Amino acid sequence: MKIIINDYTKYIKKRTILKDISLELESGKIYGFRGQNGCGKTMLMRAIAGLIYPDKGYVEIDGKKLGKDISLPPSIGILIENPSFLNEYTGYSNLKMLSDISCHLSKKELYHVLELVGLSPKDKRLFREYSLGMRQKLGIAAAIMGEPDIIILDEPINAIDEDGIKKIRQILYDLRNKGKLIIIACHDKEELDYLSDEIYVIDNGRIIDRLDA
Amino acid sequence: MKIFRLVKHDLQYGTAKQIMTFLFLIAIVLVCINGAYEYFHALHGYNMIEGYGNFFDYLLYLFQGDMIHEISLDSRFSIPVYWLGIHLFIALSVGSYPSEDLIGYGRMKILYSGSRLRWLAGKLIWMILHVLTCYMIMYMTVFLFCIIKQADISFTLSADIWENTRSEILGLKQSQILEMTILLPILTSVAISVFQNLLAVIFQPQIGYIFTCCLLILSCYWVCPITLGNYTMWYRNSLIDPEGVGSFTGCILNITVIILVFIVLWQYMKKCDILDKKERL
Repeated sequence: MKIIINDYTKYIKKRTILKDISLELESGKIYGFRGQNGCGKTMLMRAIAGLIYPDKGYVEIDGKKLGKDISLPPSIGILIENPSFLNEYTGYSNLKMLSDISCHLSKKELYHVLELVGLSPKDKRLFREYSLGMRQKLGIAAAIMGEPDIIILDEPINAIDEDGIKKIRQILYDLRNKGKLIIIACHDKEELDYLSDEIYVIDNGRIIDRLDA
Repeated sequence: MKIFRLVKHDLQYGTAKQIMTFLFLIAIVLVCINGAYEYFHALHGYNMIEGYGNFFDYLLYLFQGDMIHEISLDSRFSIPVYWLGIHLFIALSVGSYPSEDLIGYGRMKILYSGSRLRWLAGKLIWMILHVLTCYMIMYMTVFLFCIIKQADISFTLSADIWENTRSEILGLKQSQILEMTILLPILTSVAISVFQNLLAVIFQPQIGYIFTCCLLILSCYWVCPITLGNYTMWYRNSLIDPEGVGSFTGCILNITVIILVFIVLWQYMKKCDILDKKERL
């Protein structure tokens, strides 16, 4: 799996959101995006996910351009900002619905994913009753279920306890070792340095620096 | 197939979730056909008809709409209230789900289904099924009403009832009657719903609602092929009133609207940015 982002520029309501972004991302690595609020991290993640299309440039996934050859990446899991789930369903039911559309995981596999992130599969609480940390964990579970080739996590450790953070680190390392391409954005500089193989620093919609972690 | 799973989810979350709101639709239907019941009984009381009306008579009464108005300074504004209530309910119940889905949970569904076109096709199928559900609920309400009131369950209209109101219907074939009272209203409701959702997705749901309200009210006053609301009133069919709208024209127009809306929405979905609600506004 290889993602090439070439001269990617995006304007929204006459504001420059991303400007001349060029990147090459490969499987088997964890890439970190760092920057202040509003610098364009989330929008760049949206661009890679195919949720937005460029005004200039392109995103290419294994030789296929998003928005031209394919509308969306073929195998992706994503957590962007606040996870959107259905309030009237449990965590398990929410995951099951998404799984039915995409990767058709069995009950056992869904249970395993939930346990992996530290949620109880048999928890009868509805999503609306979840704490922030639980919602975040469910979002991560949705992103990693079925082990997609591309995993995008925006601020994955927000509101998560210390044990949960350790679990998530291990999950990401395991997935990276399985050859997945992982992109994370995180405010916590230390955590990002710890997790990532390469870090891109973004400011005002541009990549201003690249660091090997 | 993924598309059917998307539709299944839409039916669970977009239709079944609204189940309590269908009580409003049932209430509108009951009030209307209760009026029919009183009317048929009055006719029977005056020895103008033999029976008390059957299932099909009640359906005809429910979907009759209103006669064509001659617009003049002397004419009074008259809106068929039950007809309007039914179609406004359909507009409200189908109106915002696709656009809200796109900026909420639907974003995840689009990504996990792997295709924007699949999401769109699923939504179109959902709209059709949702409108069908509304009509089935109306038919079931009439059916149960007839059971309770011990009216005949028959698909043949009572000649003596309709002789007194729209005798033109008596000269028509059963297929023509079913076309203008069953097929055309459903097809028209689907066409109006998809166009409403085109506006809702591209702009906002409120724009879609306003459009539908204006179209329905305009249809009351203006009989012409493009005021689609006329096709849902069999009183205004050209087989009943020569000044009315034709069934064949209605079918072609509605199918054309549905196809064109799908094409426009597909072109839009191919290029649009799928953003959060606050980013869209």
